[in-house]
Amino acid sequence: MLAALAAAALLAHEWWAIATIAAVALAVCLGARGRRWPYLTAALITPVTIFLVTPFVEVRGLHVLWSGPTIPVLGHLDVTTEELAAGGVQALRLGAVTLAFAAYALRLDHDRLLQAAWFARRSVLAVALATRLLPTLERDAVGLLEALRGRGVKVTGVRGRARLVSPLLAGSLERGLNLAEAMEARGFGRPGATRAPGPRWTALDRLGLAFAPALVAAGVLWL
Amino acid sequence: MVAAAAAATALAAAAWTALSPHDSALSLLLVASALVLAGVAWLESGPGHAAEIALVGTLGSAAAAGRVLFDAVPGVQPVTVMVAAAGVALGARAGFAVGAVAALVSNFFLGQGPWTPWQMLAWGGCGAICGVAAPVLRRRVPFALACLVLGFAFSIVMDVWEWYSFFPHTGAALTFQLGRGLWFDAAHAGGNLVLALVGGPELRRLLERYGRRLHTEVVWT
Amino acid sequence: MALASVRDLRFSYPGRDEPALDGVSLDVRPDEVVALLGASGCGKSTLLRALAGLVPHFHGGTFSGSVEVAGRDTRRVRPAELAGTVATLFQDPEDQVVFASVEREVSFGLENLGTAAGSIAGRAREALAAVGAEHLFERQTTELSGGELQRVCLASALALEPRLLLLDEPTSQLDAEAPSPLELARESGWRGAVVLSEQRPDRVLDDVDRIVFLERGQIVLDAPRTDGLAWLASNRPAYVPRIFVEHPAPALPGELVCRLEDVWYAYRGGPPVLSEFSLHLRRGQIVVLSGPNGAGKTTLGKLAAGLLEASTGTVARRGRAAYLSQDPGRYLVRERAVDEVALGVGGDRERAARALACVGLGGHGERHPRDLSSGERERLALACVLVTEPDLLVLDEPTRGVDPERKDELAKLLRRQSGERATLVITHDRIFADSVADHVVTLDNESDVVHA
Ligand SMILES: Nc1ncnc2c1ncn2[C@@H]1O[C@H](COP(=O)(O)OP(=O)(O)OP(=O)(O)O)[C@@H](O)[C@H]1O
Ligand SMILES: Nc1ncnc2c1ncn2[C@@H]1O[C@H](COP(=O)(O)OP(=O)(O)OP(=O)(O)O)[C@@H](O)[C@H]1O
Ligand SMILES: [Mg+2]
Ligand SMILES: [Mg+2]
Repeated sequence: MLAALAAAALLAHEWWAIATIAAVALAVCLGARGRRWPYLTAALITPVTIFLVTPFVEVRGLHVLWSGPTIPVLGHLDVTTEELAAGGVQALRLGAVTLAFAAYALRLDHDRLLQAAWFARRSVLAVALATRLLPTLERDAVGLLEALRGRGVKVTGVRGRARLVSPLLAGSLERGLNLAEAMEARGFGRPGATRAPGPRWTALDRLGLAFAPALVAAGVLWL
Repeated sequence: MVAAAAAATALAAAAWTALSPHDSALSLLLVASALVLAGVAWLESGPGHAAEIALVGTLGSAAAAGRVLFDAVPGVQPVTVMVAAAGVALGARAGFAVGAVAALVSNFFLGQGPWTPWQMLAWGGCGAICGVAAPVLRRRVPFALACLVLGFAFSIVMDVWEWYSFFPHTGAALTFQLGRGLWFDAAHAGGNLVLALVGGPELRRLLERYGRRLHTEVVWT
Repeated sequence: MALASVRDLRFSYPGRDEPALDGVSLDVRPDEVVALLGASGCGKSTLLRALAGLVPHFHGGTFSGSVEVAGRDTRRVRPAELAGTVATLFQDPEDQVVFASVEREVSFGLENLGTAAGSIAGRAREALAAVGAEHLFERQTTELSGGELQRVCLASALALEPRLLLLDEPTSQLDAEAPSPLELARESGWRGAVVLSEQRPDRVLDDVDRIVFLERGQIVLDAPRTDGLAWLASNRPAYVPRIFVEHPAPALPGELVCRLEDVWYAYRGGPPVLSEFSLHLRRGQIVVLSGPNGAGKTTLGKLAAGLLEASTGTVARRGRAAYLSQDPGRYLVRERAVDEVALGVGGDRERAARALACVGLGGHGERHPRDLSSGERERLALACVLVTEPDLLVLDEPTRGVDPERKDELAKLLRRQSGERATLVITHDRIFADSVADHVVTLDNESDVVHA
């Protein structure tokens, strides 16, 4: 659903359509719990750059607002209304897409998302493992520092800490291999594996699913 | 089969990009997604045992942790170096997977966006290239130089993608886009060089020590 | 008719000359419980791996002889194919959990075996309920305690309804009251054969049918329980569950080395783990701290050693403190054992070599720490803290994975050196506690203190 929203945003050429999409995505984002700020700042900064820069680097339009100097590499700097409009649309578009992705990331449980990729069992497993091992890695780092301090070894400065990276990595690789062993013992790699069904689709999910192709089609045909 | 379908989609989307530059944002996204899918299919074709997957998951999490941790420090970007080392030590397929997993997982923390597939692809590419070029990258200096080049290549791929998707398709915009990130890209590549010179050999030794388990041999007597 | 039979099995790991198993033959009947005992490094884990087919398929190496489980020869079937027949509970639960959610974790094996998709969730829930962990179904694996995680792993194993269950040191992290996986498996109504390796014979020897004793990769004893106990009593007395004889009265305790007074501690955002706790540690005295999982023993040890700061209350310490962490084998940083030990004394190899000899690793100085077996690593870590000659020594579970004879040696070593320092030992192992303690402090979940 949200993917369709993003696709529609990319297809649409009218500014009001994109703005609507951006607003919807923003609303979804704000409604979600969790870490929203990184997403929202990302959705703001790059589009603003695009808006500011496009007029200077594009050469088109007749209504010259400002005529600047000619700079060797960049060419003739001038600003026309058409360029401003085009820049605005592109910026809005990127904003909308970023927001749609953000809404996607914030709203959906990624475990569930991964589960949906039924055909890619190994890849899904690699990602699941990586997410599960992240907190473990953090705990190992704390444990390593504590173990060293307990032995009277002082860990100071960037160099001291950098020295710990390799044992930490060695520890987690070892853990990785132990995990591989346990996975084989539990039947990983046997042909004919099944998948436990994920949680049921809610009415909202279904509605979204039905609405999505319509939105894409609308994007292609009219906007 | 999935791989073939993905490759076909990628081609079609690329053609669309060429024919209709206005929709480049969407079509490029499709290209990247399709290529990532092809990579996924490549990984699916791996051996039946679990060691490769487990090592990929572990390294992916370590690289992602490094990226999240040093996000604020320009120039310290452990992902490229780790992915490159993984490619050299474990082969092209595992290298690609480590890069893609690291990009995806770290973006769970730093923010997913239309850039995710391209980052997955770019870092995955680093791993795959190093895997293919492994024989010449086993020494310290070539490895470090490769990391330098890959650091720049990664940045350029990301910049060009952003330019073609969202900026006007003019040379000036491209120059601006590349120039804007130049300092940052140089810091990234330089950081890679230093990291690879200092930590490269140890990292590779470590990975090879554990990577040996990917090719266990049994002597039956 | 035997469920599993091992015939003249010889195996060595890749790159190792001496065999880990050297001519082992063993039969396991369909409903019997077999305990594997033996010194650390004698090949117990290797034999369990061979029964699961992981040796040789996962580890590689040189293999001769045969292992058959339920009529299938492990030389021809890969471990994954054996998964519905054999299930393994590895020593460290942290190292076998694949997913972040308990539900997915327990379903993983069922999915691999191709169980009908509709019945997976139900069977996973049943398996959890059978080991008394149904309430964990919707939790995240990353936030469970070691004991809870172990139950989840056991449920994952039993969900597959295996005919042979392999347990590698299942009680090494459990407190004295917590039910062992063997008891849990039996209570769940599951019937099948169990082969387990154990370094705390007191925890399991009541429940086993047969005892197998391994030495340097060879079976030196294979007998029913009563005969086995008799053999152990006369040949390997350290392995027999016993009531410890009173050791000679301690020398008069010396000066106060560490004083904790009315200490409170809470982890960030959590409830208080310790409240109004007081403890005095004197030179020449060995204090043993025990209590259930999660009571706050580790926290207390870290406070005493200065690795954590108390929220309120006083912690006063005189001289240097050293702390041996709970899972030290993970935290080794150098590439040679002797360098690892020397790290704590500014690179002094000679002192390091002496410390290694002291814990019985004299000949292993040049080996890579990560090539050592789990018990050997534990002793290496011990050498790393002993070498610093601290005034206060805090040992958190120093006997995990250590065999009974080494435990006795460790107890003797600590007693011999007890005059030089104050010692705080945290342990679940009653026999070890009895053999070193001058004084036992039991911490329970309400952080009440019982002195004995
Ligand atoms: N993966 C491995 N690679 C090389 N050598 C190994 C490996 N695992 C174990 N060994 C060696 O094989 C021998 C037998 O090890 P094993 O782990 O079976 O002993 P164990 O009886 O289980 O010991 P512990 O009680 O300490 O766990 C030891 O000398 C050990 O160092
Ligand atoms: N780093 C931490 N952050 C938050 N809570 C913690 C942390 N470490 C321990 N705890 C919690 O504090 C309590 C006491 O933990 P502690 O590790 O001291 O117990 P323990 O008695 O050593 O248990 P065990 O016998 O299992 O080793 C537990 O409930 C635990 O969940
Ligand atoms: Mg063992
Ligand atoms: Mg503890």
